[in-house]
Amino acid sequence: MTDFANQPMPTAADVRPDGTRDEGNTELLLSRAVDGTLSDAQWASLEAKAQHDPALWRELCLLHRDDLAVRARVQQTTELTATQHPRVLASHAEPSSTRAWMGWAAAAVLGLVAAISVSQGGGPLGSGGAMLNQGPAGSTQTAGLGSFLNLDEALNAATPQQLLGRYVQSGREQGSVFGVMPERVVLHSTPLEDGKGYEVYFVRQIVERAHVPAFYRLGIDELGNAAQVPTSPTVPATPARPANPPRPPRTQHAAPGPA
Amino acid sequence: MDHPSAKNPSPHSPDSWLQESWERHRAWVPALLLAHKPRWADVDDLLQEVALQVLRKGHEVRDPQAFPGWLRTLAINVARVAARKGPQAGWRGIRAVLGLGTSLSAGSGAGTADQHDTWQPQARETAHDHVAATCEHAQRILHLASELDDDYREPLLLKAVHGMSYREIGTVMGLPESTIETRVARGRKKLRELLERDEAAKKNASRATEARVARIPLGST
Repeated sequence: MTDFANQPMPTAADVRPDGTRDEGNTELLLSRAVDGTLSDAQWASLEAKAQHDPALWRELCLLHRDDLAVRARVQQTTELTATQHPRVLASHAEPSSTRAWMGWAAAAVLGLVAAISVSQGGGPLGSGGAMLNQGPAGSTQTAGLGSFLNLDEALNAATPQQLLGRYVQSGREQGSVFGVMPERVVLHSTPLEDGKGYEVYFVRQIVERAHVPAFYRLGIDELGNAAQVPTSPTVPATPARPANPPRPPRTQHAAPGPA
Repeated sequence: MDHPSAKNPSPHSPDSWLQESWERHRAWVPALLLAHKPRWADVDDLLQEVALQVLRKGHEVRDPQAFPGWLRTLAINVARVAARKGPQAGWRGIRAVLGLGTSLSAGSGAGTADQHDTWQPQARETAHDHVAATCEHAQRILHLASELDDDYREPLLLKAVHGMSYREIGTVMGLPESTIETRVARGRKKLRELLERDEAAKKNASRATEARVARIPLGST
C-alpha cells in the first residue's frame, strides 16, 4: 500500500494527463535528491534508472557538490549583508538627537578649549556646521574657557550643527576627517501643514580616513563556517608620483691645449 | 486584512507592517541581487540602495501581500540601474572630490584587471589554502551561473537562501510552486553542463600548451 503521508505534493511536471504520477522525470528526480525531498517510490525509480545508466550517480554527486558551492556563496553574501543593514527603518523612525554626537563630542571638547566657534570649509567638502559669533571681515570670535562653568554646560549650549562642525574641524586638524559630502541622500519628505516647506529625513555623509592593520575578506572553512581570510585592499592606492629626478651634474670640459 | 497604516497614520515613523515586511523578506534580497547584478557591482552597495528605496517608496505599497513582488521588482531595477551606470561610477565622483584621482591603477597592489578594467584583489598565500580553494570553486560556479537565463538563475540562487522553500520563491516571483521547482531542476542541470564545458575547455587549453611545449627542442635559446 502506498504511503501517501511520506510523499511530497505532486507537481505539474510529474503528473500525467491521466492523473497518474510520472516518476520518469530524471532531471526532477535528481533535483529532488539534491534537496533531500525524494520519496521512497521516487528513490526506487531513480535506482531503477541508474541500473541502466550508472553515470546518474556521478551526476547526482556533482549536482550535490554544485549546490553546496552555490549555497555557500549565497549564504556568505547574505550573512555579510545581514550584519550591516539590520535596523534601517528603525533609525528612520527615530528623530535626530544630540545623543549620537555626545561620545565623540565630549572627547573633542575635552581635548581642546571649550569653544563653540565653527567655520565653514573653503573646499568642495563643507564642515557641516553653522557660522557662529562671526566678527568683522569674516573673523570668528572664540568663547573662552571661562564662558562655561563645566563641560556639560558647554555641550548643552551647543546645537547639533555646532557640535558637528567642531567634529569636522577637529578631524581636519588631525587629518582624520576630509569633510562633509555636499549631496544629502533624502530618505523621506512630507509637506508641512502650513504649506511653507517640507519635513525631510536625510542622510549626511562624512568622508573620513583611518589606518587599519590589515584587510580581510570572509571565506568559508572546511566546516562551512565563516572564516577571515587576509586579502589585499579592494581600492588601490593612488600611485605615488615619482620624485623629480636629480639633474645630472655639469661636466667640466678641459680647455683645449695649445695646438 | 486591515492595513495597519490606516490605524496609525503617524508621519514621523514608518508603518510597522513595512518594518516587519522588510525584516521578513530582506534575507533573500542579496541572493536576488547576486542573480541580476553586473559582475563588478558590490552586493552590499546595492542592498543599501534597495533599503533606501524601501524607505522612500515603501508607503506606495498598499497591500502587504504585494510587498514580496514589489521588493523583487525594486531590487532588480536597482541592479539594472547599476549596470547602466558602469563600474566604479559612484566612487569616481568621491575620488575626484578628494583629489585622489579617478583612474584605477592595478600597479599598486596584488591584483588582476578584468574586462571592465576593475581591480580584483587576490588572496595572499596563507595557511587557509583549502578555504581559498573552496571559495574559488564557489566563485567559479557563480561566474558560470551568470551565463544562465534569468528564468533559471534567479530561482536557483533564491533556492540557495537558507530556509527558502519553492512556495516562498513562487510568492516572490509570482509563479506556481511547480514551475519554480522545474526551473530550479533545469537550472541545476544547465549549470552542470556549463561546468563540464568549462572544464573541458581548460583541459583542451592545457593539452594544447603541453603540445606546444613538447615541440620545443631541448637546448634551444
